[in-house]
Amino acid sequence: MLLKKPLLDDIIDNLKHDILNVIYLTENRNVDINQLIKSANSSNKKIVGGIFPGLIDHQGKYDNAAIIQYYGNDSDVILCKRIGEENPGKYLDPDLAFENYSALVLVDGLSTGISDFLEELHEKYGNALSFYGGGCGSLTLDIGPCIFSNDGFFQDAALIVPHKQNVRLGIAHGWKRIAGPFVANKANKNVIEEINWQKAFDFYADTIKKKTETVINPNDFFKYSKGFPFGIFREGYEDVVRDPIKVNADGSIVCVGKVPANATLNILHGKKEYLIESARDATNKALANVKPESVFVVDCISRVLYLEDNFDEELDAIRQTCQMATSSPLFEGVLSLGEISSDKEGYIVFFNKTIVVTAICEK
Amino acid sequence: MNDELTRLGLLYELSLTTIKHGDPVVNARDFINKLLSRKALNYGAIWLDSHEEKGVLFFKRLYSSPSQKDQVSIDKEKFNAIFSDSMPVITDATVFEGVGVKGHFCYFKLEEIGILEICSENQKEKVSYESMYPFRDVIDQFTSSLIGGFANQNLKEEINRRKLAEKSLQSHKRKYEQIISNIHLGLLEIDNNETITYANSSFCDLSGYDLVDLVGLKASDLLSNESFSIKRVKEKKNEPEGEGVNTYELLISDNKGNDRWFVVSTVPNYDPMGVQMGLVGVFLDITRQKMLATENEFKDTRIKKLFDLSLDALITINESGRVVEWNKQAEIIFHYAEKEVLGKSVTELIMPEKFKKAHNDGLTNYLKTGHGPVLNKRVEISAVKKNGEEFPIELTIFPLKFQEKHYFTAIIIDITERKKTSTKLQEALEKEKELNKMKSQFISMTSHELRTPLTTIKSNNEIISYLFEQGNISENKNFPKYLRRIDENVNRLTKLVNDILILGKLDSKVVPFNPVKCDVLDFISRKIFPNLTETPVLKVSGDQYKINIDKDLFINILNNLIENAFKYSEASEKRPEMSVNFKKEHLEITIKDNGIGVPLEDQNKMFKSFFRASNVDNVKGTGLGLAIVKEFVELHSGSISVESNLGLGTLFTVVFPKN
Repeated sequence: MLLKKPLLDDIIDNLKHDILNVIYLTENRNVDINQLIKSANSSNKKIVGGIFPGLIDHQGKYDNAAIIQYYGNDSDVILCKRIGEENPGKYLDPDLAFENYSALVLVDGLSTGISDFLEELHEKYGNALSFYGGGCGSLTLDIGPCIFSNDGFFQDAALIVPHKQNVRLGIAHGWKRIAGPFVANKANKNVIEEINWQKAFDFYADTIKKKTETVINPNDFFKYSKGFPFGIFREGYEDVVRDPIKVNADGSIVCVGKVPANATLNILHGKKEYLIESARDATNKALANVKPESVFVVDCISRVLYLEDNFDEELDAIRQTCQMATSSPLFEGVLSLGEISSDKEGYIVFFNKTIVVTAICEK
Repeated sequence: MNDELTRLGLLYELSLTTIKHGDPVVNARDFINKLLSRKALNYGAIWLDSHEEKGVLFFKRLYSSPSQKDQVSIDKEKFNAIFSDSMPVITDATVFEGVGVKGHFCYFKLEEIGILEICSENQKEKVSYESMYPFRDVIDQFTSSLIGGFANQNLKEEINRRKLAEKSLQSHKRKYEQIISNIHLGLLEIDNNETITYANSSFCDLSGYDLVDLVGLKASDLLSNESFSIKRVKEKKNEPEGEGVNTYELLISDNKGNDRWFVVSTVPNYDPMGVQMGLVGVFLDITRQKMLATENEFKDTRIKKLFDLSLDALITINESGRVVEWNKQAEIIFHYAEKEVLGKSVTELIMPEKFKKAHNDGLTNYLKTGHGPVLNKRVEISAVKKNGEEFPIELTIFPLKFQEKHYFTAIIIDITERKKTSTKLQEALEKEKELNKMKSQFISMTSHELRTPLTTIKSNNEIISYLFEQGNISENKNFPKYLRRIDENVNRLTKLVNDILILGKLDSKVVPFNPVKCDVLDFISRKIFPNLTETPVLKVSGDQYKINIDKDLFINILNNLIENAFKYSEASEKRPEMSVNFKKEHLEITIKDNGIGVPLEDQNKMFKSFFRASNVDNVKGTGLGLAIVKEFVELHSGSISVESNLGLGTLFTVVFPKN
């Protein structure tokens, strides 16, 4: 259920008793989260949710809206706090019940502990469950609370919402390599300090200039870098995209998501038609031969920024593919800071600039 | 772009990942996760060689993602067949028992330390020998890194252990130094020439010397002149030479010349090279203990002497009533030897049956309440000797509590002799009282019995004198009466004096007793009855025979009894009766009256001097007659008895032996 420009009462009115209400809210909103939590607690309604740069559905994208989804009363949510702290292995307690088939995962998209958190998720559950979801946060890239539950409003946190419905996942990004491979010989979490033993920004800007004659300055870095993300090699799949979002004063580049030290990187570039085609591919893959109850899309906000007005074409592609596959154009989704997908096929990766389409099927 | 270059990049990245010698678990985690995140893999594990059991090899998990059991196993022969060299091994299923992952597996042997197991479910990108072979060198490098990590870990642990040991050593050294300087035990170090090299402050305090005075002295210089009393109290045997700990008692002179006793333990003192450089001695001052021990020994000796030589029996029992001490005097009094009674119940040994229950109840009550009515006081009671003889004792019991146990010590004195003496004394006292009473009665009686007739004599004499002065004495018709009264009272006085004289003679045993054979009946008829104012009715029975009598005493006996019979039955109409019964064994004479009788309580005192029954009223008498009668009868070896009923009369029976 998508509510446009909702007030607090609109949301509270649409919350249900005795089940889990998952609420996706835009960062631009008329609703105070602490008031929402207070109201939910006073009316004894169970809520979890996250703040996103934007929301989408089959009709378009929204920068002031709310989506409410209802999960069964047996959903046993795990709230993991302080995932960016140096203490791997502490997050997942208590254990998830293995009678679940899938889990929605929402993380603070600007936390530095996302990869360690997902690593632990894989260590503990492997391919027992399908995981899907994305990163919450603000398009301003300011760090702050973006995950909430009845217990409060948190930053550097993650939510796991297990459920007994099967999901089918489709994931694609459509970005293509234009240069590489290079070595991120000096990197620390989500900050690349050196590439090929040179200052990261200098090497990055120089390489792009050589390949595309595009000049990138530190001052308007994101304006151009959104079109030239990094790709980390992953055998058998598209490269895992890392979105360069900021240049530090020392010439290091800040990305959304971890870049391992000594990782081999490529520089990617997107073309409008590749990206829109990738959205179609991801939707096709998710909906092939299934009759979903609903379709949930996690689409990276940087794709919107890159495609700009053409983003509507990406939504059209998803809508048309849904229509063809399920005879219904309906879907809902979030515009995220990073995407999560693991359809029981392997390692759980935190993606950037990617679209994850989730077909939520019957139990 | 060139995937081969990218793969080379990955190999490079992996090779850099392995150049670590830190925590092997972190190293393995980084390596596995890097592989999983880049290759089309969904499982990786490092298994370390653990142990072998019955042909099965066991491996323990160093790290895996997803998590697996902590231990897996594989048949040894199967393992040897699969891992014959260091090349990658590709299989369609896990080779281990216990791994819960399905897919295509690849294994690398990590030298002799374990196995790398990786797996992919990805059907499109199956793991293959060709795709995994390029990773062999990186994995060898990783193996070296793991070995290095373990070595590094062991080294760190060893360094930590050494640091801890060093800290502990330093701590112990400080503690030792503190102890040495603060303990009240003296410590003295000497070299191999017995020259003092060090003394702690306690030793200086104990000996009265300053350290500077001690250092350089020979240890033997400190010994007292009485040091012949050195006593080795403990010595470790079977130790290598120089290893033993020896303990002595030494007498040492302090700097004022006072002797002090020490217990000294010496141990060899070695230099860092292990060469003995002398001895270290620890000195414990036992002077006070020695003095106390001597005092205690003296006390013990005194107590033992006291116990053994006591003239009273000393017996100690425990709270079960069993004998724990039994001295010599107890042996003498009770006729039990110590060894016969130790551990036995005192109740069964010396307690009369009648006191056993009270004793047992008293003991139980004391243990419960702490109170005992007979404790800490002298009581007279009886006890039983070994031969069963019960005898009187004086008993004093003292309770004693020692180390939470109760003991009772009894002091027992045999008072048999004391009791006998006491009885005699009592008897003498009673006799004395009797004599005093007799004396009082005598004075009372004589003052009355003398004064009355004397007054009568005097008054009649005055009347006669008056008549004589008037000159008409011969005409006075009462004159003879006055004379007779004087005569009667003179006779009364004479009789009284005679009786007293007789009683005095009887006491002095100087009464003449001259028995002759006599015909009693004839003697009564001729010599007694004619002199009596009134005679009783005489009855005779049995065949007559003669008996030996003192005729004077016999007269006195019968006169007294007959006169009494008339005197105390004046109101009766019936005359008293006298029977003379010649019995086979003896002659029995009874005199019976029907008079006032004698109260029952007075009957046993009737033959005592000066005694008069309480119901005699104004009947005259001295209280001497029956006492004299009894003495006279007994001089004849006879006996006299009385039966009386108050108001009905009295019967005296006198028995004279036939021979």
